[in-house]
Amino acid sequence: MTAREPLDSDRWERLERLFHEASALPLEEVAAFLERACEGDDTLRAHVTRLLEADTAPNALVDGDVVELADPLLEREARAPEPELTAGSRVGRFEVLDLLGRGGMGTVYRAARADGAYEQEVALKVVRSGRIEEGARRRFVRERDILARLVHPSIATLLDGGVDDAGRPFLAMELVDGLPITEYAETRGLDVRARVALAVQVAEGVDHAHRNLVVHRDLKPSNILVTRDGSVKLLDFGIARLLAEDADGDAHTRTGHLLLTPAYAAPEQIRGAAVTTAVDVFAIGAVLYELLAGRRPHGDVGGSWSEVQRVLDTEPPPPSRVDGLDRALRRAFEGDLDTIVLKAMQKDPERRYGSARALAEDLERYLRGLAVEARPDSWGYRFSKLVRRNVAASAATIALLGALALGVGGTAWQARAAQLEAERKDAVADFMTSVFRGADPEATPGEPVTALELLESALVRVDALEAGAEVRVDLLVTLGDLFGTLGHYERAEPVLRQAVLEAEESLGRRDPARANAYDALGQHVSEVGEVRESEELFRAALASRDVDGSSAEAIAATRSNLALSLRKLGETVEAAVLYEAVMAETLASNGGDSLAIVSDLLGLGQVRQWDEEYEVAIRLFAEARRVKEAAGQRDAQLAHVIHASGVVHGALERNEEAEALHLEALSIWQWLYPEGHPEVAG
Amino acid sequence: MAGQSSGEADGAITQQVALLLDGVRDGDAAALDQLFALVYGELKARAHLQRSSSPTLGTTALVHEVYLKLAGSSRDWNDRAHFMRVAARAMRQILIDRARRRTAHKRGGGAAVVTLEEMAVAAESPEGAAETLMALDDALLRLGRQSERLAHVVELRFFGGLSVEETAEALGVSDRTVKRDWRLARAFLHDAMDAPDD
Repeated sequence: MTAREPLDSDRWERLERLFHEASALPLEEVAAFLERACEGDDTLRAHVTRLLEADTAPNALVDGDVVELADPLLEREARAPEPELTAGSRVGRFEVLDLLGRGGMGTVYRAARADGAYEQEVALKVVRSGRIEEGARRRFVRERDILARLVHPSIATLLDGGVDDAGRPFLAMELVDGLPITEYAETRGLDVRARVALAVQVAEGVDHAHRNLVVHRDLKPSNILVTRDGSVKLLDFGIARLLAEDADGDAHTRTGHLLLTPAYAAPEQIRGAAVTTAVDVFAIGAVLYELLAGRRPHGDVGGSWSEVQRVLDTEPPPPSRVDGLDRALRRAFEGDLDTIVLKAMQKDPERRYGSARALAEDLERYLRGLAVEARPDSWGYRFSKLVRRNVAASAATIALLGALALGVGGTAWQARAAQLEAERKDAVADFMTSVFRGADPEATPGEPVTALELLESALVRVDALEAGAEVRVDLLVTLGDLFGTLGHYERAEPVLRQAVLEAEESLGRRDPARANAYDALGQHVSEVGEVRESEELFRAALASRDVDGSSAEAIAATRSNLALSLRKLGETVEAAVLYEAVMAETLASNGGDSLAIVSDLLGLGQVRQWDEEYEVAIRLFAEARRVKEAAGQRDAQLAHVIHASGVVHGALERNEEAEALHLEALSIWQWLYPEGHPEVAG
Repeated sequence: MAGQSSGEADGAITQQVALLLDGVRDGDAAALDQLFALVYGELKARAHLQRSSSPTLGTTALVHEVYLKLAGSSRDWNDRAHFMRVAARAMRQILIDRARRRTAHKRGGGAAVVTLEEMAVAAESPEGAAETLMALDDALLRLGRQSERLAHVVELRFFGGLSVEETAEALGVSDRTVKRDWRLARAFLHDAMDAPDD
């Protein structure tokens, strides 16, 4: 068939041209045309002729859809199990008794020594045929010898393994009569301590393997059985690695050359990085998580790339925060168990327990009521982590944050002031703000509140003012803000609503003044209890705060406001994220002593309080107070902080401390406000 | 997870795919490898899923779905062209890998299927389908040695399920060229598979 040998590129080009020309001709002219055109090149002529014949023949394969063609192939792939070995079949020195189960890697049988060397029945794992390639066979045997050294009460012993005469790789393991650890805990109705005790056994067995340089790599409940007398037996040690050569199981995802189960796999394992003992520590943490919380850390995880990515990108909630737990369990997990589980499951292997032994010891400490070694991530750590993700703020930001620290409720004011400065707003606005600022007791403590008339007359002046929409909106926001600050909420609202109305009518969607208007009205309605509406307004404000158009602190201020509304609505997760992001920015630009951080510390503390994490809340409030006092500020915000701390102490029934804090807060308010301001009434 | 957000792009992935596509456009081979691996994985996961849920599955639907999922709908057509080429190649690879696994232990048994007609009949059994696919792959390799463009056309149309117009777009040639190429390629494959010798 020399005629089918490849053509050089010149002849191929001629072939293409001749094929197309000839196929356009009436059939009876083709032969003569080719005879003439090929100029004696018979090979070429034969090629073209055959292609023209093929051209007219039906070609069901190529004309169809490839998947139609592949359908039977895929169908069979998905369904066909390995043919089962029947009772009496011989595999190596073993005789199959009956089927125990099927897994992604192969089939497990109950089997016995065929030569009667011993009575003991074994679990015979027969790997899917074709799963092991010739080259891997020697390695398989070598690894088997290493695994056979693992002798520990919590590890199912490997008795034998190899490749039988029929080419089937197999492993004979100690036959364990038990239930998967999670199932065992459920059916026995184990309490928290008993579950933790099981995890200790798991960690000890794993530690033994690690000392023998064997990493499990695929720990999960179905590999951790518990026998009737309550002893843990770990199955399939090192098998993931034995079979990693050529496996593609259903329940597993292939990543690099690893077999793993995404729900329990450490991030570095999923990413295909070097596998160390730390992946087993992670998996024990994940199993303990499931034992405690009754669900997997990330819920159900499929094998697709996107599902796995989700696991990599998100932090699971602490066990105590899992939905649907009853209060007693929540309380039992809070603190030490949450901390231990999350430490074992740190995404960064360096931050996990250094060994399975260390994890076992900490769990034992918990059981004995001793202080555990694990610590929750410190604020400093979490901040620095956030800070690394955020860009450092500019020098201008720092200057503006100084101003920010002066105010309390007036974040819209600050945002607007920052923007005024940035855009060199006209003298009218500057004049007015400076005048009214003196009437704010939260800005200058001790001075009497006498500014209502001033505000009213200013409002009249604004109405008559011939100015651009931006300036008008700014002024209305300022006035509305100040009415509110002075406690005249009934006056603030119409002014702020008018500001929003004018902004929506005459300013672009991305105009900072429009964002400020939303922000200010949002704060007002939030204060009078329309929290849901305030949330909408703050989201509108954020949407208007284009990255280019608004300063970083304006965005931060709006985020803080939104966080506050979310907190009031009980949406604590998003609130906490926002507060932390804002604080990270403040820390990045101003450091931890910046007064700008106080309101966010206060807010985050209240989020934690809502979540009943009282000790954390107290720490946050204490930090807020420290910053205030270091700056020598004795104002309404300080009173808020002290009051909030008192509330938490009250919740913990530390009544004396609570009482003292409440009185301290009250004395500040009374000193600040003569009468008539709603802060004192509340 | 099967029914969830099937047509919607996932932010993080889309971002990564966008970066990879930029790399591919700049001729970065590593980016191409990575993109291929990614598309391969996603296609495979989907093919598997759909296999168990619905009996019929069009390549077109599959490839486009994966495109939406990984690249989102906003990328320009230049990227789309790159992506489709990678996806078609990945689809081909997936099917050939499966076929190879299925026939691996039968190799050397001398049970070669000879003619195209026999193949078409045999294709109804898994082993036959596997053999046929591999014969097709062989033929396509040979075609590629003669004309890379023709092989691309086959890959995009047959394995990628693209229409003539989409194929033209992906290769940056006219519709007419694609039609002509397809006709010649089809004849070539038919001829090559009818007598699969070298």
